[in-house]
Amino acid sequence: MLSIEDLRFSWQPGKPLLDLPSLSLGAGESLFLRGPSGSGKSTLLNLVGGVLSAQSGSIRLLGHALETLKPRQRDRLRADHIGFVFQQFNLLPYFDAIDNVLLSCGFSPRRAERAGADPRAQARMLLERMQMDVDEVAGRPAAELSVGQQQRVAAARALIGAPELVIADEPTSALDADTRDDFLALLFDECRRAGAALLFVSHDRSLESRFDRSVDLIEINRARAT
Amino acid sequence: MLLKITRASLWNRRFAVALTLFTVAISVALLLAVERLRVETRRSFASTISGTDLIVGARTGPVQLLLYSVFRIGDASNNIRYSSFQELAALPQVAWAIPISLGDSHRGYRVLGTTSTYFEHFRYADQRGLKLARGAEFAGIGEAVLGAEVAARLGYEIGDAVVIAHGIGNRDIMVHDDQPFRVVGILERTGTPVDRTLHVSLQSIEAMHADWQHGVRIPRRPTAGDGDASREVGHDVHVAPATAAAAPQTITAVFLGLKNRAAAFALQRQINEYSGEPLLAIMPAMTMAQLWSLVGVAESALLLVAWCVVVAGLLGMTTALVSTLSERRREMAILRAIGARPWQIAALLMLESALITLLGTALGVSLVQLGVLLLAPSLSGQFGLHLQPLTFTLRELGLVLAVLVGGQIAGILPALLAYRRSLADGLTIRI
Ligand SMILES: Nc1ncnc2c1ncn2[C@@H]1O[C@H](COP(=O)(O)OP(=O)(O)OP(=O)(O)O)[C@@H](O)[C@H]1O
Ligand SMILES: [Mg+2]
Repeated sequence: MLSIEDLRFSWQPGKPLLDLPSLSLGAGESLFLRGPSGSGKSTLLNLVGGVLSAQSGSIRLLGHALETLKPRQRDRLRADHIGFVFQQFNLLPYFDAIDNVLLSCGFSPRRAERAGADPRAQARMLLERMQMDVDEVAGRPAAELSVGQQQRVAAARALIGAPELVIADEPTSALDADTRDDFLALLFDECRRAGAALLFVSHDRSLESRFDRSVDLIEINRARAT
Repeated sequence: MLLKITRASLWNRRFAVALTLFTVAISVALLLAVERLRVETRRSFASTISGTDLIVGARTGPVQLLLYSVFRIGDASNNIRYSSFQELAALPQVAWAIPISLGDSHRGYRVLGTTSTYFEHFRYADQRGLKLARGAEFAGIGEAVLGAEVAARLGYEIGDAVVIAHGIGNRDIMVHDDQPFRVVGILERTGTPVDRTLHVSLQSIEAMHADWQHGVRIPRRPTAGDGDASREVGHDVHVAPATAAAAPQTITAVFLGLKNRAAAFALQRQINEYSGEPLLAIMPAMTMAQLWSLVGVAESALLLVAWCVVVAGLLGMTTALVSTLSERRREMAILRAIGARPWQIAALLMLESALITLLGTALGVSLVQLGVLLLAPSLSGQFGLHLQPLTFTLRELGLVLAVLVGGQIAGILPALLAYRRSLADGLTIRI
């Protein structure tokens, strides 16, 4: 589903940050990507999301070679097939939880369609599965939610319309241990239910064991090895 | 979707947005108010006189003749002979002729000596004639018909006595105090200088000036000649002077109405070449246009200032939007992650500026309408400006559209910045 080959990227000429011979992710697979701060994890996710372009090499996502696509097509691909969850501040603070979840459908007709006849009902259902008290949070701006609640809303938004890939960039690092475990369990369940592959970035190795596979960016990155 | 985001985002910052909105509203209101006053001033100016085909006075500048004969501004440097008036009135092309005599005043208001032809033929605005609100036209010496403002400001009623001063100015020491006038009529409001004028008969003026020469009182002495004697009678016995009407020697100007307007050019030339004395004939409409081209500069300057205020208001909006960009960086990153294109991020900002200008303009328009509704009575009373409440002209629509376009232009900078930042930041949430 996702395969990366001979990917080279540098922010500044002459200082290569990433040089990945190969990295791949199968449909529905969960991959744990670890690496120290500054190792280029977030940069890699921007490349996979099609927001950055690599200097050379190829990223194939669902049969599309990103480097051959126009920016418009890459934005479309991202909207239709990838759900993102970031470390913090995932939500538009002035929208309530449901409207935040529905944002994904607002920018992707495909996902709106896949969310069923009533995307709003789908959003409520996803939030409930994320163990949110929907009636309590409905109508309240997202800024009033706790950080744990916000992350669960963000996960629901990433999952609505069943994208093929969910990318999570340290989504648990702002959470305490209990909240983190609950959140992870819910995320796994829902990805499995939606059939979405999960690319999970973190430097917290205690989470590693729950994933199908684990990769250390330092080990596969030739740019750092040399 | 974008509109929904914009609405929620603006509502979220409603306090700051309201301030920006008010700035825009006030600047738009100012612009429209200036435009309203400008148009109305011009209309009111143009309606000062109508139906008069030629104005004839002593040779001077055309604008000066217009100013003193119609607007009661400044003084005539010379008078014309009454016999010239009689000759003009007798010309075959002339339908009617109104003689006017200026030079006296009452507490700052000009006194105009004329005949009943004035009430019959003088027209202003859209061929509107003068109407008496109360009382009657003057019939004899010592009777005065007041313009509406004179009566209202000075609180005169029918039957009151007014004392006329020689010359112009409020505190003239040379007062014809031996010649008090009695108010016999008060005219309806016209919104023209007529409102600020006292009208008396030519004979009254003549009688009043009988023993004045060059503005200096000459000690009364016995005079010879019947004509002079009769004038003396009218002077001493100012009660019931009607029988003692003196023939005027000179007048200030003549308003002419022609049987056929097309003859105006030819007659104008003929009068200007009159051999009896140096005369000047002007066509009021043409000289009014000339005068307006002088006055119009101030008017344009005012409009320019109003536009500057609008530009300042819109720049304020630009500043406000740009200053929100840094705190909204993560919003942009979120939207990018969800699949928003960079131009959509830019469109968000454009939409915001559009909404702010739209609402601000709507508020400004309402403010002006409300202001006109409240102020129209006092403006029309004091300045003769008749502002129409609850109207919207095509020109005003043009101004509003121009402001809306300006608002979009003002939105370009924040939109461009947002576009560039969202490209640079990508999905990385920067705080
Ligand atoms: N927009 C940018 N312009 C220039 N350099 C950048 C930019 N973004 C990141 N970098 C550089 O790229 C390198 C990798 O950054 P990146 O954010 O990918 O690291 P990371 O692995 O996600 O780190 P962390 O675990 O702290 O999030 C860093 O040295 C950073 O300075
Ligand atoms: Mg990172």
